[in-house]
Amino acid sequence: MRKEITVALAGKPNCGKSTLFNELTGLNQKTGNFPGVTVERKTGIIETGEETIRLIDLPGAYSIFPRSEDERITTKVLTDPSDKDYPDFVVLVADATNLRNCLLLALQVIDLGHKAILALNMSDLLPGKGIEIQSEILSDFLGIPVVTISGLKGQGIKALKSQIQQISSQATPERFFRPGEKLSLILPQIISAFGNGKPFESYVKWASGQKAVKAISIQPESDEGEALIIGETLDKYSLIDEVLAKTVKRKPLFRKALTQKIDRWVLHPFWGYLIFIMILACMFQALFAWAEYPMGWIDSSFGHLGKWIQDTLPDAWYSRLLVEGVLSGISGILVFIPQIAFLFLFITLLEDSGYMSRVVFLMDRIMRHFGMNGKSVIPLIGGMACAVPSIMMTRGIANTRERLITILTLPLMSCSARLPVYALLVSLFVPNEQVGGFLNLQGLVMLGMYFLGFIMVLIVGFVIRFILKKVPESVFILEMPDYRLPRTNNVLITIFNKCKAFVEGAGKLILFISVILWFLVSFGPEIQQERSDWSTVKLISDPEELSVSYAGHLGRQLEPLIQPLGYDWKIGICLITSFAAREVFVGTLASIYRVHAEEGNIQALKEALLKEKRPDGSLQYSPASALSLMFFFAFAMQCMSTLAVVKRESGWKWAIIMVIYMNTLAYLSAWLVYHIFR
Amino acid sequence: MNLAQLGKGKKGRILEIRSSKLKKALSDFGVLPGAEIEVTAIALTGDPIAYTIGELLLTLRKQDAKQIELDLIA
Repeated sequence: MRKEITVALAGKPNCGKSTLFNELTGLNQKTGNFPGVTVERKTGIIETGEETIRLIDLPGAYSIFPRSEDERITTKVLTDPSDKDYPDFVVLVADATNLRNCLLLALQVIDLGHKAILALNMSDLLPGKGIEIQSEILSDFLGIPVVTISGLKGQGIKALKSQIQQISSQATPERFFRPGEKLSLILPQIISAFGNGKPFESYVKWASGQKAVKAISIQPESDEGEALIIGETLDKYSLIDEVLAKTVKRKPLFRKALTQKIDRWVLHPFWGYLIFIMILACMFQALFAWAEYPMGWIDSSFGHLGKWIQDTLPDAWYSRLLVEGVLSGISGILVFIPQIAFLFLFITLLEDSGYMSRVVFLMDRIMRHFGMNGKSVIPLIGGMACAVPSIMMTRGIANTRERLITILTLPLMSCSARLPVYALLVSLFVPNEQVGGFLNLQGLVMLGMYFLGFIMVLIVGFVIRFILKKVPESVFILEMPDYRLPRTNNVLITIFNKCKAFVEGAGKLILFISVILWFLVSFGPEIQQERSDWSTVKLISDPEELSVSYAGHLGRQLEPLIQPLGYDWKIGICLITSFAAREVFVGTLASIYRVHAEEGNIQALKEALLKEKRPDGSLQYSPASALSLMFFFAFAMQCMSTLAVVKRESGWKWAIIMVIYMNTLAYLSAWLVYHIFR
Repeated sequence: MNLAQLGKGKKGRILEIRSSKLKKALSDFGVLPGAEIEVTAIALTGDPIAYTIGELLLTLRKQDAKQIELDLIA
């Protein structure tokens, strides 16, 4: 068997760690669940001659003492030998242009006894900034090898790979841990409470509050405890400052000129906000106008493929299952790829360039009125593509209350799964014409729906702020890194991996539902089947017969509840299926009206819908019922994946509260809209 | 004076950080009494504020900035 070794990448946020991770592992990444930016542990595989290297990308942290959920992951992995990702070797990634703040974590990791190497990243920028680093002195001081690399240009990556392979068997001694007088007094207690004989590891576990031990005379959260921890950290910093004085030579003239020039505009109290709005507008344009073309191609090629299969295969239950169940399920997944790709293109560009933290600065005060903080903005923007990875991005929010409000309101942002529902309903009644010369009326209504979601986020946040118990204000510190050019390769790899994660995660569920649904609309309790002979199985294929299918029965059961909103039992079926995942709505309507596998899928469906009559002879789809449906979809909690991730991040209680409040809101607003416009 | 009173473009030297939570958080960034600090940008409503400390550009909220005592330099 090949030897497998686990290597962790650790470093502060924005040190180029993720870029390096992508550079080292390429497309060979396994993303645990649905990844955010780097909120989940990401794992990549590097195959070398003799062994398999599992590379773990840890969430960025300045120090081993965590202040937020994502930093807690980093501390846990590095201090818990029983963790499955506990590394055999640590690559400490440091931003060479800003070394001082990168070295604290490095010293702490070395003190933890990890075998390690320091990778000086972004070294290609050093000459331009007039900085010279003597890495031999640094290496002597740290007691570990120091390599110079540049994730941006791929320099030194080979050297790093080979260093990882030649891991020395020598563990590093604790060389920087110098407990002062007071800490020395309680250190024996700490070691015996947490201990495996490693003083610094025990100390970190005590200081980060991994387990409360009453027997220890000083608690880490007390003023006395905090003073001890601060003292220890500052001792490390004085060592760092001492060695940096010897290793880093800097010509003062070059300092950060470009970043300062850009920030004069980007952080400006007027221009800064204007630039942010322009970037958002650009993003909308990409998501709705540009993504439409590839989405159309995907839609129509699956239409052709379905037709081809129908023409080629004999008309039997299995060919119908293949086309109406499996194929429509797959196309329902793939059609979202362009939008997800565009969204992550923007998020990655903004993140890699260093702009995201400026957004946090600009928006912090405004978001605090609504119970959130500046760091909520990025997840909320992400919520326009998909709530699942975005909820995980909230792990960087240190304040538990602000994080919870962000999680609870985020699913109100109109995600890309709602888009096809809006698109269908809008196109039924809103004329496709230009207003004011350049704005498209349908597009304008769509934009309004997105705005509606965002306004509701603010309203609900504002209300919850008064209901939820206050937690002590947490310190809010954010570093704004120097601007740098995003790397094409890194952006592409990120987009690829996000899309892959979507297909693997949400995709499977959608496919599953779509197959189940096919059975529900094709079979019914009253239809007798010859169980022994599948070739003569009778399927429901006439829309008139649909009411006797299993789905029809379910829909009829639901009808009394949804009639006040203006929906019939067929919409009831769609609501049932879309409670697992909203994107199934249009597909369900299509299978109810039996219009798939034809060219111009959506057009045929629209015609069928506009012919649908109520029992009293009036049209089922009126502007009022369509608008009511849109409001329902805007606010309803209809996504199992989101629910699962909320449960994992904040527990059953909040997941259930979210279902109740969102669906109540959806029902009441849909009812109101229907009755106003009827 | 405290840090929140420092105007845009002004510079000071940190004398004392009063809240121990803030002191602990800033110690992770290597920011300690004696450091020079300059106001780089102020957001629309006067909060938060971006400060340059050595090589760092840090965002602090006004309420945290009030906890930091300093001497005006320029």
